[in-house]
Amino acid sequence: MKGQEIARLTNIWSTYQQDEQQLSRVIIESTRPLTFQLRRVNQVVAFTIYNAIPNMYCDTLAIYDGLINEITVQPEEGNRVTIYIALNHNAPCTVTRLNGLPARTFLCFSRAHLDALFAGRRIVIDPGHGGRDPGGRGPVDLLEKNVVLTMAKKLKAELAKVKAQVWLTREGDQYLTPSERLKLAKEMRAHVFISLHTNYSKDSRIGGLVVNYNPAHHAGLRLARLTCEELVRKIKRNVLEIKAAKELSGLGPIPGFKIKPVTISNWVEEGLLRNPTFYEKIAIGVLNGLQKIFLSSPE
Amino acid sequence: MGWTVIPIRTHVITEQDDIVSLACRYTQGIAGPNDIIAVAESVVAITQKRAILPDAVRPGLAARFLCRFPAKHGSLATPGAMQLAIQEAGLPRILLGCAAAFFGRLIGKKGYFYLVAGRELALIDDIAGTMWPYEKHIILGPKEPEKIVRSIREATGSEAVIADVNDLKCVDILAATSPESSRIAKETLIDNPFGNDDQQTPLVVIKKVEN
Repeated sequence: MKGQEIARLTNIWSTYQQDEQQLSRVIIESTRPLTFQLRRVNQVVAFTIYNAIPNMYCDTLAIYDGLINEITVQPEEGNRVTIYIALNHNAPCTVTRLNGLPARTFLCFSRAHLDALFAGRRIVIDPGHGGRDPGGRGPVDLLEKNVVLTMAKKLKAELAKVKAQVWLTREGDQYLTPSERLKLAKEMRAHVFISLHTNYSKDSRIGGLVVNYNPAHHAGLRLARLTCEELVRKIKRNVLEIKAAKELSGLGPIPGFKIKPVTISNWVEEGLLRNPTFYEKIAIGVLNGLQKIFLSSPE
Repeated sequence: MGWTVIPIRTHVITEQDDIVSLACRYTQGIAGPNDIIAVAESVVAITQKRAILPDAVRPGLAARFLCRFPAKHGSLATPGAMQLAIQEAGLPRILLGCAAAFFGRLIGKKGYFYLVAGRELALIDDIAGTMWPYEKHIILGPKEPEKIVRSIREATGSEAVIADVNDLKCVDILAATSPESSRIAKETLIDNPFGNDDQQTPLVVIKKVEN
């Protein structure tokens, strides 16, 4: 092969869509169309590219979009590069190409398994505080009652994409008593109740996330740990505490969690709450946690 | 002839890196003499050690007071960022900028603060304004951007620009090796190929192609 025919890999990224197509996609950009071979070992797809060298940095990308966990780019001898895509499900893969500069190669994975897992699941989301109860206040100006409502709406939208049935305890700025919040979950015979809050500390240097769980549920702590683990992967915050919350025991046998993804009193974490993509990450982190919960306890 | 944009994924650039060496390394074999290497202004600043942890800043009374007035989604809403702005521009210029901003509010116009206090202050990214792991830092604008673009051109043979781009289709060219590069970069970077989240593509080659 002539030197000038070598493809230079410039970029790799991932995106997902959960509309009619329901796909997670890995997009590889290069200076020329790629020659490749696709192999699969269980839930890892190995995409070997021939006659190519990476100009881009080769490392592991943490994706965790509900299907793709990680992507590792590995340069090899003889102008070869292998891209390993670790999935959490043995999803079918198709490859399409778009010529041009940069040339784009799309590896598309079906996300249909998420529909099968979430369809018919009843989930109640409770945005904390509201109305005359503002909750915590950030050092600049954000109020807990407003940011948790945005979080709840984003989470509802993500769960609706995978066909879950979702209710919010409040859609606007209104005050609800603790018993009113739990009542909806019991009436709907919810599979899961999620209460969204932010943590607060008088010390503005303290930041991180807190997950509380319903102690009346037999596996509350284990499920809270799963949720926390998935959330941390997406939002990269420290875990401050995983602890039982007595006020959730009114749910009885329904798994219930009070999730506080960030500490609003922390300068940095209040700043993160100004970024719309951060809410997306929280929603995907919670969705990944629910996926683990439903897989570990099918009913 | 037209232009195409090739974003290049890099490692997480830190203050240990040299931006000119990075431009050479990542664009090798891609950028030619007629092409333009565009660099995101925030990574240039990071390599110049201009990413500052708020704990390293001691906001004075003026900073604590003045940070209450800018838009809360803006860059100077925290005492630390305002203190750094005061250190960069001097308190008199900041106060003149505040007076201009007040006048602007009266007549319903925005942007008077930066017009008077200095354009470089608009380049400050407050806490959480940059991707991980720099979300804890306040990032100042880059120093001597003209010198950097000249060094990139000498090292690579390609034209170079330093740009500040956002997702609202605003492209600000801080420095360019030629007016033509500046014009082309302004047009082609409008969709923000640098990304605004975890994309890790602070280097972009703007390449001349046949239509």
